[in-house]
Amino acid sequence: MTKQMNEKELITIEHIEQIIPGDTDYNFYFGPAHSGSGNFGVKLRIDGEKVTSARADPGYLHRGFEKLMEYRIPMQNAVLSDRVCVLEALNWNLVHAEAVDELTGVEIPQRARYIRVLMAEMSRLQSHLIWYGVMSLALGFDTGFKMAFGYRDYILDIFELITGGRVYPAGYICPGGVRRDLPDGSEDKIKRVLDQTEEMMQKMKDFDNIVFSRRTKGVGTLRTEDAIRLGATGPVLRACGVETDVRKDDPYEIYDELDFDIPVREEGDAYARCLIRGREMEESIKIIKQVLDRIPQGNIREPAKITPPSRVKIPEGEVYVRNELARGEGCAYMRSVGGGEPYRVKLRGPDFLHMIPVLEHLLKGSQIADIPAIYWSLNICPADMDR
Amino acid sequence: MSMVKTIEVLFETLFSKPMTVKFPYEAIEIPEDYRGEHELDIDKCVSCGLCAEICPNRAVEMVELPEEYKEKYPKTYPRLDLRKCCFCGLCQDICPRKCLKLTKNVFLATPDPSAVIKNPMPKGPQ
Repeated sequence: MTKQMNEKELITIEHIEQIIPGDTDYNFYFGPAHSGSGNFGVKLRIDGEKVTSARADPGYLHRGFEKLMEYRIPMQNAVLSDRVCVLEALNWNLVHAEAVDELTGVEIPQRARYIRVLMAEMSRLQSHLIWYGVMSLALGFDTGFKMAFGYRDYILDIFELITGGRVYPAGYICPGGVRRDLPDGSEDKIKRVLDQTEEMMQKMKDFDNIVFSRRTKGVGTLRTEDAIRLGATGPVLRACGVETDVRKDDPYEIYDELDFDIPVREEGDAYARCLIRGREMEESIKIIKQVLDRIPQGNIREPAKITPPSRVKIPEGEVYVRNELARGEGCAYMRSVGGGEPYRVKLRGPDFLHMIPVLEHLLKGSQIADIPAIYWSLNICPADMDR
Repeated sequence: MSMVKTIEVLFETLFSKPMTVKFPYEAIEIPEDYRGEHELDIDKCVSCGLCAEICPNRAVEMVELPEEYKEKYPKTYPRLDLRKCCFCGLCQDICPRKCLKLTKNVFLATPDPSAVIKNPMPKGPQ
């Protein structure tokens, strides 16, 4: 028997207004367990559909690398440096290895330098493919996500062949050179994978108009002066019209011998950041092709054998190195007091500044629907930010 | 993307091979130098302990063998704890006799907790 509801029991607009009297202000938590945020949280204050304030909430993925590195010799730290940013492990290997090489003053064999650049650029390519995948997912375009991750797997096959692991190369780029030489036939396989990546890039261009431009044009615009003031680096800064790239400004390894361009755009919005990454992939392919043509024969590591931990001595001194990673500028400060382990290591990833000041600045004043587009257009990595 | 292009892509996709394989009936070949499960050739081991020294996660420990093998193998040999191992392969690289190797076996998931500890044992029936 149904109870006849009287007028007082019905929930009406007036009832709701009594509970929430004309208030459209509320807190909104984006992450850290949100499928679109990736181990990182942003506390937002929303008014209706508009974000009135954003506060980044870091620390969810902190693992304490800097302290862990003080208890390990450089070769062991090379393995640890993979984990700083899962999405571009080889680039972080290179940052760490360069810092140690500068302290020890070891002359790196020329072949090892070429292999290092080859692997770092391959890592940049796969990192940009991951970005394309998650950016597509954030915009509700699942096909792009699946395709990007599918094509990325071809690059991972190459990593598996050369380093012995798909995602974690286990310090492949190590102090003194690289851990293994390129196996026979790997050059041909790399060229085949480059062709496949170019195929993917053509598809990315085809999808451009229907998905990306409509959701990202004019969204999350960062002005040049704000980008510099907030410490943006890499593609985020280049999308604001600043022509900067560590590979050109402060060349390391063999980058000064290679011919490549720095893509720059003036708009500063999420769409510009997307286009910059697409162009960067083209430049990376250009670099890899040049490296494959010129790679010399010779040793791959100096010294050739791994020194046992008890005999490792890092000369006293301090260094600061910087590299161009897929996401921006990655730096390492290392100080040694003459022991086997570094006295202090400071890693400075690009994402700390992208995920805290830049993201907070961009989210303020944006719409709820644009949050994922802004968030992923910065190509952020919580692992690198929290470290 | 125009409709013609869409139909073109649709037909291309219909008749092209998928990117994935039907595991476990098919599998992508794992390269020879893959960093998988460890294999110890105890007869070659000289008990130098370098593998235990270099291991970044202290997953390798030098232990003695059970009494019945002590006569033939009187020294200490590496015992591996796969729970701690990050499969970096530094133990393989530093081994002066190349007796510790990482194989391409990646099927290491097990419900048996004792299976993740790899005790040094002579080859053959035990």
